[in-house]
Amino acid sequence: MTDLEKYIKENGRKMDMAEPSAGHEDRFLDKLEKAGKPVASAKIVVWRRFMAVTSLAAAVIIGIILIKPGAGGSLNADKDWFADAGDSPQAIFDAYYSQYRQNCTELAEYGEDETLAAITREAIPLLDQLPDELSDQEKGEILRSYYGTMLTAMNDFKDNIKN
Amino acid sequence: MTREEATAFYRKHYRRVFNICLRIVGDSADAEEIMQDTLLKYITGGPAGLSQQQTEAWLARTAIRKSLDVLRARKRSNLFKEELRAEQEEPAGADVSEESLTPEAVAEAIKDLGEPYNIVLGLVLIEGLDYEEISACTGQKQTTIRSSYSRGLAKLRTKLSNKRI
Repeated sequence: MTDLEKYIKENGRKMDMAEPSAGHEDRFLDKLEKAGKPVASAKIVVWRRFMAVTSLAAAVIIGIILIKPGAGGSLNADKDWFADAGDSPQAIFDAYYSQYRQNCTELAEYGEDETLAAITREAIPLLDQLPDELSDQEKGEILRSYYGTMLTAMNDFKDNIKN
Repeated sequence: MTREEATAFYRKHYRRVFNICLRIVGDSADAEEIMQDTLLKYITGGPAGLSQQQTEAWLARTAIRKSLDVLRARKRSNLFKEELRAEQEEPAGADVSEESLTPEAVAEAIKDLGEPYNIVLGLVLIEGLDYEEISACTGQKQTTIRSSYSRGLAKLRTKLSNKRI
């Protein structure tokens, strides 16, 4: 190999000097949007991951609660537990916790309050785990889904115990 | 890939892929379009699980194929026409010493060679393709590729020697 060939091989990357005309990145992003495969923003991806994880967690908890003998279909599936909470994440959590405490009080008569507490205890409340980049509306949706499912299952459990 | 990841990916790779295309098609607007189509193809449906090196190789090969397709589509390119001008073999020129070379001067000289020499030299020396790969991309015989390479290198050497003078 001659010196010239060797030089070009070794310095090829340095010859990548040309630039596309101004605005090329914006043109690319336009193409990306039109490609028919919308690319989610990082925020939406985080939100979807949380929804998936919380749905799974709630489903596991429901499964544990409803395994108790005598458990039938849900009598509480259509209730709106957070009717007065609006989109406020804190208000939604407060509504959940208030209902949870009430259920524990009622189940204490049957000795099942510790059972309920053991299954539903959160080391860190979901409210505190949600990333800051989510809006209150997005946080609210996640919390409604998660805690709503929990309350439905808790109340089904309570109803089964009482009956 | 999120929008942010796609943007970061674009910023990382666009310049190299753009230059690969530009060395072949010779037109900035065409090169940009091919570059963006290549990156878009990777982002929206490219192979998964590639290493950094494999990704760069995939992008380069895809950009090269697309660029050569554009050249063929132009239908006015003399790329690899068998009836190359019957030119006298140019003198090989004094061997060019490495001290006198700069990437800018060499890149400019390669570009000035015109088709097919600029393309073949670029593909062999900068992109690292061998004659067999170039033959597969272009549909030309390896002997034709090799001949274009040898002539192109001789012309390049002459150009660079004359610049020194």
